[in-house]
Amino acid sequence: MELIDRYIYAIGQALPESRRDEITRELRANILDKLEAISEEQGRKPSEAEVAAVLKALGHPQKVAGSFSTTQQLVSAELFPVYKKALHYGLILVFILALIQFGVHLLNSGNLAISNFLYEIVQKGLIMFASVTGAFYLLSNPVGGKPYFDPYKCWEPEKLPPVTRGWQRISACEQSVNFTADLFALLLLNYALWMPSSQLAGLTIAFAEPMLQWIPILSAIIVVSLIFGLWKLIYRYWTTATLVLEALINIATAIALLLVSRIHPVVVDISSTQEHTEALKIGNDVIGIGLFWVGIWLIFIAGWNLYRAWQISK
Amino acid sequence: MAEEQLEKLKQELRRGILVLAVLGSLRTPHYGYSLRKQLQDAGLDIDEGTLYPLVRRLADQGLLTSEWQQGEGRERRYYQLSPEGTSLLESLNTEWLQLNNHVTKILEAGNGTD
Repeated sequence: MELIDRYIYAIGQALPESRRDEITRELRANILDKLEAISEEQGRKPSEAEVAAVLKALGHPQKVAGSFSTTQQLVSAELFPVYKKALHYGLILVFILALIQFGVHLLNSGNLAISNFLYEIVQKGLIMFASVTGAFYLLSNPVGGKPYFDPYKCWEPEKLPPVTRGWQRISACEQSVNFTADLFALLLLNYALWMPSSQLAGLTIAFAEPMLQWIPILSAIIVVSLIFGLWKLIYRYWTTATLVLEALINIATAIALLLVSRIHPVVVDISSTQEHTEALKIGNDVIGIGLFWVGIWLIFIAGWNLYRAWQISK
Repeated sequence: MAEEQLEKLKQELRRGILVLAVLGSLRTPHYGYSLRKQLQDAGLDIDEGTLYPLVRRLADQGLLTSEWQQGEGRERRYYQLSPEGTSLLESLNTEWLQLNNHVTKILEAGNGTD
């Protein structure tokens, strides 16, 4: 009997408290019934070894307790492809964050802190992995059992691209490049929001006043682009509507960049020694020219998007 | 490998049918061990680790009612089909008969062409 007590107690420890008494009480009754059947068959009380064999046949206490709990998955099979993508983009985010911090550190101190860079990647990577997995766990195990949303709901077979029109599929590479560029720009523009205060205090370069006014506008466009990127993560093909939206985002970004390219200077030296002044003169010229040509390029891309949209709608 | 595969597929095949067999058996009240015995006597040997949690799940879904009873100096939890379980069993039974009929036809047709 002591063996049964120990076994039932071990199962109870692995069960949620709300169901513990009910399940262990019933399991005990079932075990005693089985032992009684052995007893009747053999005409004597079951030996200790026979009791142990019955318990062994039932299975490890953890396993038995697990079989009574409702099935839970860390990430459901349905959400797994999106989970993998989220980890992929999360890793890009971690890399960009660590890279910007590395750059800032290099500018401030002149030290190539490679080990620090690697440590930041590992640390941020682990936090990202835990956060993404936690979010997908909540999505995979909704309270009440009813899913919060169905990511695969909005689609029509007619909208799937024809096999012959390869360009209509959005490639993983294209997606990653867009996501990386958006994220890099967003984090760089809003460095004051996420950078540790110790690093902020040590900065020797900052955006000039006229540029600061553009940050909310540019950030808003990038956020729209990032949200749109999430949509494209699930529906990985172009439609007329998505191409027109892509063109609008590109035009908005291009206009903003062309206007920003006229600001001079974009970045200023805020160090007490003004040691970067000369270098920044050249730097600001390069930034201005760079922004102008990126703006022109985006207008070309927007035109291309609209041409493709027209091709699909034909 | 083939044996493992066979075992996996057999388990998959049995999983759905077990619900039907358990619901069918619980038209009359049973406690855990007696239910297992009845299924065993009918030729369906179900592992206790599968049967008891399955019965609890069906009870949690409202398909079975349960009651603790004292008998032969010990308590036992008796399960029986609830009204909801009874109507569900009827629908499942019809579905099972149809499926069985269709699959038998398919398998027999397959045998004929060999």
